[in-house]
Amino acid sequence: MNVNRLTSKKTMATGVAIALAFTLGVNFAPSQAASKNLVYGSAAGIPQLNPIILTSATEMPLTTLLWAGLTSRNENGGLDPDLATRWNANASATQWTFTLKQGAKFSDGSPLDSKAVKAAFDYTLKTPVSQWKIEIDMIDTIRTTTNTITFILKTPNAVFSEAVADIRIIKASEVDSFNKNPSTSGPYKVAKFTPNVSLNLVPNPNYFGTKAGLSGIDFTKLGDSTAAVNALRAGSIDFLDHLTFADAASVKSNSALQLLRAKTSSQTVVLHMDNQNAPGNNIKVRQAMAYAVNRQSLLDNAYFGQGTVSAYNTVVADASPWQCSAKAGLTKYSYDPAKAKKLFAEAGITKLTWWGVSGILPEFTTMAELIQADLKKAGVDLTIKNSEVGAWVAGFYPPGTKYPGLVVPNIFSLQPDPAYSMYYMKSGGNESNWNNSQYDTLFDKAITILKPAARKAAWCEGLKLENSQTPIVAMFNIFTVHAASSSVKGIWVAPNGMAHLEGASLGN
Amino acid sequence: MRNFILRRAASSAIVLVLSVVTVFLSIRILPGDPVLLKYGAQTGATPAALDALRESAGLNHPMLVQLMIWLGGVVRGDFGTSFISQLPVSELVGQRIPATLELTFFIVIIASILSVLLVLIAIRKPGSATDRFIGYVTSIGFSTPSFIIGIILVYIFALRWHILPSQGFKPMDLGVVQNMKLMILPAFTGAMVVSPYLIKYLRTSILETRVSSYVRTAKGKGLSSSAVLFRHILPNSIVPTLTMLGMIVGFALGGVFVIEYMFAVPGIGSLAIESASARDYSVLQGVSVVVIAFFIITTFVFDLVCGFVDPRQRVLQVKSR
Repeated sequence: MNVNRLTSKKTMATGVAIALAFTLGVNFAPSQAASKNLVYGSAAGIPQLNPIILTSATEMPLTTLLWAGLTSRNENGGLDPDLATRWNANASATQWTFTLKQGAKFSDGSPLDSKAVKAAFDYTLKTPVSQWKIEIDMIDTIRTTTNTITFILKTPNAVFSEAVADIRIIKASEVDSFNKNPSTSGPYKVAKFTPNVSLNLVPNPNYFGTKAGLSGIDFTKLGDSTAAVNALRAGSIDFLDHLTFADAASVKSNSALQLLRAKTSSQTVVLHMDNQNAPGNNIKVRQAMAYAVNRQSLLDNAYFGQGTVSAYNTVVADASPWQCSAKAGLTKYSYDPAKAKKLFAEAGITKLTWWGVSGILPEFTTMAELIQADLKKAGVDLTIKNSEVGAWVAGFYPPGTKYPGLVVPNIFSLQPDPAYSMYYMKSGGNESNWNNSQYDTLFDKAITILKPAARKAAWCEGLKLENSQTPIVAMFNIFTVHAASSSVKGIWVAPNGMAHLEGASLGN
Repeated sequence: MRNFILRRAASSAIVLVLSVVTVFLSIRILPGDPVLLKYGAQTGATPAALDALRESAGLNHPMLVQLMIWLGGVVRGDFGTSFISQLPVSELVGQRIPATLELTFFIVIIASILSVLLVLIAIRKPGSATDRFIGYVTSIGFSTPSFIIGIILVYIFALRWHILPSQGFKPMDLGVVQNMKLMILPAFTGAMVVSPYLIKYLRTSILETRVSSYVRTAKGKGLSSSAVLFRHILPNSIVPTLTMLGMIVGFALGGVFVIEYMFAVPGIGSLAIESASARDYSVLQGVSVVVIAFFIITTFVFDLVCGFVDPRQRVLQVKSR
């Protein structure tokens, strides 16, 4: 036999054998979901771990997985003890004392005591820009004893016990190397972190609270939302953060999966107009916009009905126990294209421009087209401009940026207490550039009132002003939907859309 | 030869510097900046606070000053720090580069094997239906973007037949089989993008070599067709293709950006896209330096290899003094 032919036959046979072994190996390779770790998938990555700075929504679940607070929020929007076992305020709400659990430790074994808490608060106050600093910047002094920490405030704050829930107790001495292996105070700690790629958590053996119910959590970034849903269906991931609204119906009909959403929502979809520059500085234009948009249609078509309409056009939801509604004289901004047309005509407005974002938030693109049609009925031509996220943000952030003639969609994900959403509407704090000293005074008065009923009456005065002035078009509140395999238990979703996995476990 | 190497090294350094300066300036033309992207949406992010952050990050310096500071750091081996994660750029690139190198390696290997096989089939009968068909497929490959090829492969193999995953990456140390399984689609996508270039060059080169006098001599001596092909035609045809292969290695490294993003491979390509979105200047600049340097070094190495493989090239290189 020709040696060359024999050699080539052997080569071919070897090649076939390798291909066969590979294929078999491919098909019988162990599935990723066989591990006891919960695999958490998201279409966006986690860029960094510092909860005080917090740069993206994907970092939010880590704030309670890795860190404790003095207090923590529960599923019903109320407050529970955490590192603090109890707390009280003086009559003027200018001094708050928290009694701490004794013997608590960080994951590295160092004391999680009043000094560590003070260091975390000092760090938050010194950080130039922090998501949470604004909630506690009324702190004048912090005093500590062995088992208590007392905050002396420059101005009264009746909801301070809620504000501290957002200040996660980090080990302030580690901030420079935070994204490598931080010492944590929560039920889990970091095993490995690659920014925007993966994060692996393991139980924190030194956690003072209820022990972690999982052997670990593996965060993995998936390419896009379609790949994410496919991975969930295939069992490659156990939990999917932020399911797209379009996929919610198909996941709901799958018996191996479950949808997770909050009981109530404090996530508001809004439209901004620059209140300082034409045409947004004309109240008729703003009111016209509020009447022109068909909120129910937008909710049904862009968000697949996952939410409730905000007829009173305020940042406090219609269904909120703090909403004072028509009983207090608030106007309902029901869909009324005729009224909108009249107001736009009186203001002399025939053109506006939509400033949207491309590549993310596809619901905004749907809304743009629907609002364009709505405004057409009101005699206004809306030009739609979508930009990459960096250019979009630069167009109207931070507050004070001028953007005359633009209509900008946005979503707030704030805590349900009006102290948060209404604070946002204070002068200099909102992207609508609404600066109203009367509103500021009403807010500053309401925040000092300890008794809830009296505080509600005070918030109502602010809501009436917001309702009449329409600085913002608050269209509806949406429910962020997450999805998980039906074997996952113990996950709940807060009104601001954040998933809480602290008590999660994997059933059979 | 030494002078050739020195001159080539000097010109490569100039190309590298000019390229990274271009990248440095280009990304700063984009609206927005890392401070705005990181903090702009936060409550309390007043213009004054953001400006103070820009000042502390050195973003308020004149562009030329920023460039000099950065270049000075690069010369010392310091590529700066990610504004978003505060991790050193070199560490971030180091975490991501293995995935890119692995993907590039497989793209080049698959492209090389595929190209050689197809050309060998095509040149058995130049002008035949088979040759023409391969030519048409090559033309389609030239004009089809990588993401279109990727979508087609994902649709067929992942969504219709369910035999391969649609995306993802697992390092080899966590499972060789899983790693290979996840590499197949992205590697084939890249290979199908670069193969047309190799096929075209190799085919042309082989057709020219076939009619050389030494090939006629070899045939006249009674050597078999396969012996003539593998001992005389292919080795002499490889040299011009080697140069193209060198460019393709560099091209594959830069071209994998889209492929990495499509298939969620956590390489430097997807790192570049993430940092561009976040205006994380240091990271984007660091990635650019790595990619450009790799391209330059690869083409330089392949040119040297050509010189060793073909002594005539060495003479030409020396004569070019």
